[in-house]
Amino acid sequence: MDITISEQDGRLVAVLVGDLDNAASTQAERALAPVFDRTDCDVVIDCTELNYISSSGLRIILNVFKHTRSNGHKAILKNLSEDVREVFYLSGFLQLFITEG
Amino acid sequence: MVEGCELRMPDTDVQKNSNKFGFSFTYSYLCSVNNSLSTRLTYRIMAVVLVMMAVIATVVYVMVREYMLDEAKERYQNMLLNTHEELHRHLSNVMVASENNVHDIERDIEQPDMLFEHMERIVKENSDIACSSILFEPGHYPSKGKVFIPCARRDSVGKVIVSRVDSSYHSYFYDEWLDGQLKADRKEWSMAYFESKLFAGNQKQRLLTTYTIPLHTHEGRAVGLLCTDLSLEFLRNEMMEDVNKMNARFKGNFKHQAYSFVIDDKGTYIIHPDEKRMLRDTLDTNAIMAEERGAATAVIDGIPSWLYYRKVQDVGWTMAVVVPNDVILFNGLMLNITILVVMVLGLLAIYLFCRQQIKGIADPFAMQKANLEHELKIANAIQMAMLPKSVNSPSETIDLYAALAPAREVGGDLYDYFMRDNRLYFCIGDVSGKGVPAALMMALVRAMFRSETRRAESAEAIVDTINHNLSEESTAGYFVTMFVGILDLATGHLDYCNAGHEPPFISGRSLDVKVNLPVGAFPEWNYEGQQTQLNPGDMLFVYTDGLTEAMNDSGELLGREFVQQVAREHASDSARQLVELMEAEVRRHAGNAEQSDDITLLAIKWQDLQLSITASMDDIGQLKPFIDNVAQQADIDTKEAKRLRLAVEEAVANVINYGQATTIRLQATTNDNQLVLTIDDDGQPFDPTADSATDFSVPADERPSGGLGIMFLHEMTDGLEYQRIDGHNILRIRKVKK
Repeated sequence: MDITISEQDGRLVAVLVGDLDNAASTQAERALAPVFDRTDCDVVIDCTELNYISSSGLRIILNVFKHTRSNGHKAILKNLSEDVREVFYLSGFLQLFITEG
Repeated sequence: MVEGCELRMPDTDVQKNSNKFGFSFTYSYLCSVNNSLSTRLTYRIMAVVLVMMAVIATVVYVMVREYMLDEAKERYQNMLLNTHEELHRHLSNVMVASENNVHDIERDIEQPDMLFEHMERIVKENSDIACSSILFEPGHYPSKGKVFIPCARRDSVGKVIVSRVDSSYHSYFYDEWLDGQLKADRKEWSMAYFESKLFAGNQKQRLLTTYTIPLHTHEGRAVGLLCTDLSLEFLRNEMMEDVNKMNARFKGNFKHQAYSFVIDDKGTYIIHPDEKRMLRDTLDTNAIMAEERGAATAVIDGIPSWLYYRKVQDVGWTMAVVVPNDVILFNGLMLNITILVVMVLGLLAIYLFCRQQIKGIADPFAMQKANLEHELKIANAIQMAMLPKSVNSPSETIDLYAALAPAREVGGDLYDYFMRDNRLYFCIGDVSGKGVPAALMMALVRAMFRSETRRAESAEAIVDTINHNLSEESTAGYFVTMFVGILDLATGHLDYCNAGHEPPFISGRSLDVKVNLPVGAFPEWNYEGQQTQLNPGDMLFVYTDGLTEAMNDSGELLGREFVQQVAREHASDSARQLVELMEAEVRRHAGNAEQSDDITLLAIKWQDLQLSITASMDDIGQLKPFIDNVAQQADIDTKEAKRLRLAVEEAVANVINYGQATTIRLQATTNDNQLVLTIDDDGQPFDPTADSATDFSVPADERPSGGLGIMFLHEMTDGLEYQRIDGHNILRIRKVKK
């Protein structure tokens, strides 16, 4: 699991690369800590290279959503692969997010 | 019949298929055999009889023909002889009568008027003489004119008329002929001729021949001819009568009929059924009728005929009977046709008799056989019931497939397997001999195997005990080649013992085996077990020699080399694929050849698809490579692999998070149709299948994470089974292959 965070066009972009599974969840939570430090912008979660996500991964993404919403901002899922989209869809989380691409 | 059992698939249709050829097939086959047997036998008998009859008919035909010809010759010659005697008698009578009167006539020759009396007497005294006359040289009696012919003749009613033939009976030819005859001065018969109209008057002109004797003056000069006429009408009548009699013999309406004729020495017809041809036509038969009498074949008037002839003395004529070939052979032909008809009827009778009799013999035979077949069918069902059943087998952790095809209704092959302590006990065996005795032995050995595996801990011990027990049972010289193995599914360790059986293949490699002796052969034999280690994915293929010794029509064996090649090339197939492929190869090789020996095939694929982790998130990372490996071996695509991974991960995470377990063991098994992944943990009892619904009424962001996992577990799999056994949660995740 590889997570990089950058700021683009006034939005915070977190690029998730690899598998967001139970094994990676602790590491992922740490890597996403900077997102929770910011309260002034929308957050884009770039899933272009996200291969896999489990319920623990969903929980982390859900926390990002809760954080941005509490600040009056939006959380955007970008480029969901078919497999990952299915997981989001089945969990019902897909309707919470704005999706791009 | 092929009995296949599959461990992993309780809903397999193999067993249903195995009974597809059932008794009905066997019975109808039996009936057809029976029918064809009686038909074949009947036709063979018919063929022999037919040949015999043909020979008999030919011989009879030839003999009858010879007989008919001989008989005809005899008959016609006798006929001719009779006629000849008759003719000869008449001729002699005429000759003798004439000659007896010559002296008296010559005495009175100077008194012409006296001669009328002589003529009258000759005719009166000799019934054979139709007419008697004397022809004198012209002008012999000056007082009587140029022509003087005293004559006496019998008219048609038998009255004798004496007359002087008047001068009109005179011609140039007559003078010359008379002159020649007088000069020749000899007695002779004239050619046949028709009576002069002059004499015949209104009567039918008779066929005559005349005996001429020169008459001399007292000085000895020939001056006249005494002519006595013999009517040949009797001969015509007689011959016509004979011919009529002859033809009456044949009832057939023939195109040509038999007839007889007389010809003179020049070949001119004297007598012929066709009066118009008489004295006109000639037949050149001198060459054919060269003998005094005989038989010859000739084409007469275009008709191939047999000719029977006899020469007539004194006159130089030949009498003959002509019988067309088809007439003479008619009776022979009829006889032959009769014989043939009788033969055909006889043949028909033999045919019907054979059909009836052979069917009569075959029917009880068939009934008996059908009864036996029925019992064998039951025996087959019982025997098949002795083979392992896959339903609810505890051995759902290995890919195994087996097939047994007996050469007869019951066979002497056996195989068995079952699971104990995560170990697979299996055996394959081949009883010497076939049929019912072998089947009983098979049942005995299989029962011994079952009972021994409950106690014995090694393959060697199992074989040893079976051998000992069999020897005790005193099994009349029957012995069994066996291969017994114990496969530890956790480690892939194989403990085995080979008792005279063909070495199995491990992924196409021949397994090293000690030969030992077949069980039941020698009670004191010490069997020696062996060990080997299987690699993950190894395919163990065990079989009986019916496979390698499967023969085609030309007697060629399938061969161990070929089997090894198939086992090697298809080691990565599933167990079922390999077994079915081998079966197909046997069918292909054998073609129409009958299966001569039982064939049993057992394929076991050991897959090291297991993982043991401590119940901690620290170890959960091992799931990904494990699932990847399982997916690869099970031939599952990436998308489905991810879904499986999600299901397994959620289940395992659940156990780690809530179960208070120490160890989690995962094991996967695949076959053609599905993948089963078993998760075994020693934590608190928890049945994820009971908590099947995720509460969607709660907003998604407020749902507990664990419930989400269970929802995924259901969504991502094709079946879940939960069992609580010995303080363990056993969860089976089933994924059907697409």
